[in-house]
Amino acid sequence: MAAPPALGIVATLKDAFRTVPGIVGGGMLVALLAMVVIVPIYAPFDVVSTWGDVSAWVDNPRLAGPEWSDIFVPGTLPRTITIQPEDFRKTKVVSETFGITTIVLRSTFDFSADYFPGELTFRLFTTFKDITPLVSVQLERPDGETVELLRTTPENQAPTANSYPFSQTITVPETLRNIRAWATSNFNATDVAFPKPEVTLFAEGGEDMLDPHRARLMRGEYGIRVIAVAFDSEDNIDGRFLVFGRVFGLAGTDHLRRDLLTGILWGAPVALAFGTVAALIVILTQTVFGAISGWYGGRTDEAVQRASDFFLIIPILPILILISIFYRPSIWAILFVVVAFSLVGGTSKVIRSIVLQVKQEQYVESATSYGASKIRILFKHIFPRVMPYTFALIALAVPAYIFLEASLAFLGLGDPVLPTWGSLLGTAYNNNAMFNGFWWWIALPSAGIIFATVAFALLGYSFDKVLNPRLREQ
Amino acid sequence: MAILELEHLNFHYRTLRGAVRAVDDISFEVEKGHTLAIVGESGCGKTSTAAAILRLLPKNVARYDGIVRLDGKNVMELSDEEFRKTVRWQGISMVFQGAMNALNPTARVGKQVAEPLQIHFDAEKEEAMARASESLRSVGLPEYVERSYPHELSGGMKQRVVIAMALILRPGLVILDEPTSALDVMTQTNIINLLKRLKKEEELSYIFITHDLALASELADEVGIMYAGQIREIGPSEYVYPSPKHPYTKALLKSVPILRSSESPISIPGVPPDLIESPFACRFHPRCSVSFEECGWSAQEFADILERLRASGEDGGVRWGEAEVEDDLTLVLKPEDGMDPVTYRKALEEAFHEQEESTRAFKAVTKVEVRDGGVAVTLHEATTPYMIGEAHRAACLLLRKGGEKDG
Amino acid sequence: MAFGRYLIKRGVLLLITLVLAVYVSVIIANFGGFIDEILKGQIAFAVRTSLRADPDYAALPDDVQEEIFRVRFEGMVEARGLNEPFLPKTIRYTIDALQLKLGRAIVLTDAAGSDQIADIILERLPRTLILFFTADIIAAAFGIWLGMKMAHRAMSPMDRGLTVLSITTFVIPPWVFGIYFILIFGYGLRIFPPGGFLTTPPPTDPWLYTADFMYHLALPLGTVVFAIFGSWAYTTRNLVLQVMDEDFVMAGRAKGLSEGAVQRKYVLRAASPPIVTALALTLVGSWFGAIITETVFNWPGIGLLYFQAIQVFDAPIIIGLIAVYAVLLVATVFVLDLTYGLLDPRVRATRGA
Repeated sequence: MAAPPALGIVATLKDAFRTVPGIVGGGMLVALLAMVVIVPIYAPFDVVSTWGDVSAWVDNPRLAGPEWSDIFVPGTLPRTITIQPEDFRKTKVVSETFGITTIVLRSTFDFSADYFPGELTFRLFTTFKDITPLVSVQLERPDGETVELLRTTPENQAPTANSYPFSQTITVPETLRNIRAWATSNFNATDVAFPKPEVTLFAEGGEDMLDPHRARLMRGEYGIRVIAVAFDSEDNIDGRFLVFGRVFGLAGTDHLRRDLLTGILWGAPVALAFGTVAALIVILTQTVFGAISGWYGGRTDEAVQRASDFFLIIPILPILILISIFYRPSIWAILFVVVAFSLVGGTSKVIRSIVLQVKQEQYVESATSYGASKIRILFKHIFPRVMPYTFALIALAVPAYIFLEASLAFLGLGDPVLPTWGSLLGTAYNNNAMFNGFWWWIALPSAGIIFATVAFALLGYSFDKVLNPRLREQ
Repeated sequence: MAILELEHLNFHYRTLRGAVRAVDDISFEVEKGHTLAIVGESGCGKTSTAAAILRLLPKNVARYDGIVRLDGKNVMELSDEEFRKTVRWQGISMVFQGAMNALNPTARVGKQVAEPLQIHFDAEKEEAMARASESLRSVGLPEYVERSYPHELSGGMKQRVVIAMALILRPGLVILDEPTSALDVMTQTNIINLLKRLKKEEELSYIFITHDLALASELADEVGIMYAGQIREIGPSEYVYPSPKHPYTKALLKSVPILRSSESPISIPGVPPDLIESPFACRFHPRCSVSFEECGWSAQEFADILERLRASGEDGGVRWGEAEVEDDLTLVLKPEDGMDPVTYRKALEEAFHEQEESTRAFKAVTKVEVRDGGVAVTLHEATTPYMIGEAHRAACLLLRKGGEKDG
Repeated sequence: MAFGRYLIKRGVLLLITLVLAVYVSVIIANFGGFIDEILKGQIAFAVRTSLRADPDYAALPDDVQEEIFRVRFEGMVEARGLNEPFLPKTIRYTIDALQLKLGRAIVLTDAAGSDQIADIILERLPRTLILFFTADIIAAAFGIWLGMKMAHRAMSPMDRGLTVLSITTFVIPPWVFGIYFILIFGYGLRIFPPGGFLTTPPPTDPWLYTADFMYHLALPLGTVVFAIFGSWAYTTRNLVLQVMDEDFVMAGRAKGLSEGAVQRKYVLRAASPPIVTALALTLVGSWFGAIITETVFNWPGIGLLYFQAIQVFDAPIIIGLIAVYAVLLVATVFVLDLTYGLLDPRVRATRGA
């Protein structure tokens, strides 16, 4: 092997960013950093605590694909339609004679997608004095039909919502009963075992309207009407009606309705921080030991060499997993363990061999001959020479550590609270996302990992190209 | 009779920066039983010439043409396969530079020496090994060497192995590429003596490639001086050594230290030229101490020299100002700090004239005139030198001048 | 012979490393007394079971029963060495772990229902070895062939394209490709089964059984090969390019060897020792990678076993697997050392000295 070329870090970087892989890798890295900057803009809340809080995501559709999945199917997939309390027109009639107050909420929405909605939910906010009001929720269809979805006496006082997930037929069985009765009597529909409220309500009237596989969609203007009979003039109601779509945002949602884009964006800083910090510390430590080993030689060398052999053979991943199971460490504790098990290793061997060559060079020999101390030469001459290589090795090591974190998180052993790419994947895997075809849940977080690692791999390769003259273009 | 004749051999290869003209229109011949030494600084194309003769081309070859006549037959016309089977090692073998690297580290020495017999004559293994061991013995190596691996041998021994390997097929011509450069002086002498003895015994012809003019004199019947991919002087060593014709040869001879001599060696100023952007006309002119106006100064070169002088503060009191190259032979100098162009022109002209012995480029100035608020400097047109002479030839414009004077 | 001495020295060092690695894992696992608790629990269970089988015991009053149990239990705990001081105890655990005898599995069993660590692990081990050895061999053969081709046409568009492909595939671990391939070929196109190693119930005919096994093997095998061939190709390419510049290769050509012979006898031969070393880590990495790769493919080897053991907290199995991993690593490294020495005579000499 020829002596390593004497390039400074700056010159190396300059040359590296002139190669095609360097430009592409650098561009990808900039994009990743942009993701880091975007997170606080896209999700201006405490992601870490919100991520574990199921109630923060209830207004999102469940297991919805990304909005751009339209391109895979003919027509448009439904987006979520939300009718907020302020969207309802409220009329309140107080009848002194009977001591009752009638409150009517009404609003309309246009349903123009090419597929049935995913779910229907109504949230009712009531304030009442002694007796709970009597509330009826009705859907008005474009064909003039009106279906009563529910008649109920809400128990929760605002701001706690009374939630009626009509599509969950076990929670709200009455809705399905009403729909069945309405469809069979008004349209002579054939009953089936498992009708879906969100299908029948949005289907053209007819024989097949109860069969989710055969019902035909009816587009047009739908209305939602809520009528409450209250027993105090101060009583009030408000509502939020949700027609959940089948797609959501840029990255879809998971089984807990969480916006995966938030998780994916948040994964970037975690992966970058863990990967670069781990690579930086590990490679720099190993560089120092490798340089000392090569420079001082003798017993020091022997000791470092044997230690590297030892650390290379230690089954670090299984041990790391063992530690993770028994002690549930945070991401930074995991980092500490990784460093502790990689004080010396492959990098120290590479650096040692470079130092052995540099040692032979004249300027080092002349420095020795004019009486410079060993430690001085090590810092003044040896380290500057090996630093560009260290740089390349760091870039090449980052992907390994990003994947290490992802692997642990995938196994459910990563940081217990942070959403990371690996933990997103692990959750998806544990919820049978592959089997159920929730491809976005798997493909997008792993695309994040691949993107980040390929960026560093290309950068490392471009350094390698500059530093290793044999790989340089002839 | 010539065993090898080269006529207008070219071998260029591509790099990122441009084409390297490693072998640029080279012609020479090697007489049977003679040794031609090719001498030049490192990077001048000596080894590339050897590679071109043996058609050992890299992947990035850009140009490879000319005539290579071996025993009167133009081998450039052979197909790669014919060339490999008939010329390589049988016609011409080679001792590679740095014997330590010329042996396959993973195979035993005897096997490697015997290999050419098996490739070219389908020799039986035993017979080949017997011949190999004979050959190793003839270069003075003990028997155990054939069973050794290269790393087990000393540098001198490896060099002998490589020589034995080169001779195994008894080729007519052996190219020796720096055969002794990595060896200590004693071993060097032994190897040179061995080469001399083998040449006599086996009636060999050598092309001896070296950077060491003194060493070349030990072995050479003819000597060729190479500079920037070209042969600049060639002739019988008994003529070249005592009366070199080319300024470069003279400079090379002066740079050789002589034992017990009061004269100290003089090194050649400047660096060996780049084979990618070689200087114009005579490629030696930037380093030549006797160059004159025709030798090949270009406007760009001239501007660079002014810049260098200015940077080192040797501008002789005249501020050169900003130089702008107009074409190959013209550049415009703008005076600094608002000096009047007419005064500036005069100052320049004087400075050029005064310094023309130390800065030879100034000799090439033919015209200095005021133009557009600056001063235009026009250089003399260059003439490319060609080889002059019969047995002892050289390429230098001074020779032509001398010839004209004589004639 | 010097090289033999070197190998012995190396072997001893590797064995020490092996023992130390297992010792470290035992200490980690027992920091919170986990192993102690597990073993005590198992002893208590064994004592109770044997006592219940005895009709005389059942006739005794409760406090006497409890006293007998306590005495027996403590005797066993003492005999098992659980009350020994830290050092002898951990050393004993290490020796047990290396013999795969550190307790019995808590939840997991092998197909026959045995809860012996050795039974469970040895049932799974061959499947892992088949998958990863086959993949490594195919990837190596294909990668070396490709690497030589790339070196031969270095800097051509083909070489540049394949270089980028190689470096991007080799930084991405097999399980990530696995996820995509399962999505595409398993669930999307339905060409291959998305997981498992046999259909349930497996075919009884031995030919069909083999065919079924191969069919299930195809996707994980292809994935692992795809993920690691690039590392072979890129390493081979660079080493071959380095060697191709060496004088002895030029000398081989000058001697009149044909191009094919030069490549085979000189270039590949000289590049092979560093290729072998450079790829030691690939092989080692694929053993680790097995944990997730097998999980993703639901391939019931030791990797998936590890995952299952994590899920149910089956500590004896986890420690047993670490021991098996350490043995695999040590064996791999030793074989590589041996191969390196056999391939390169220089190494035989210098390492022997």
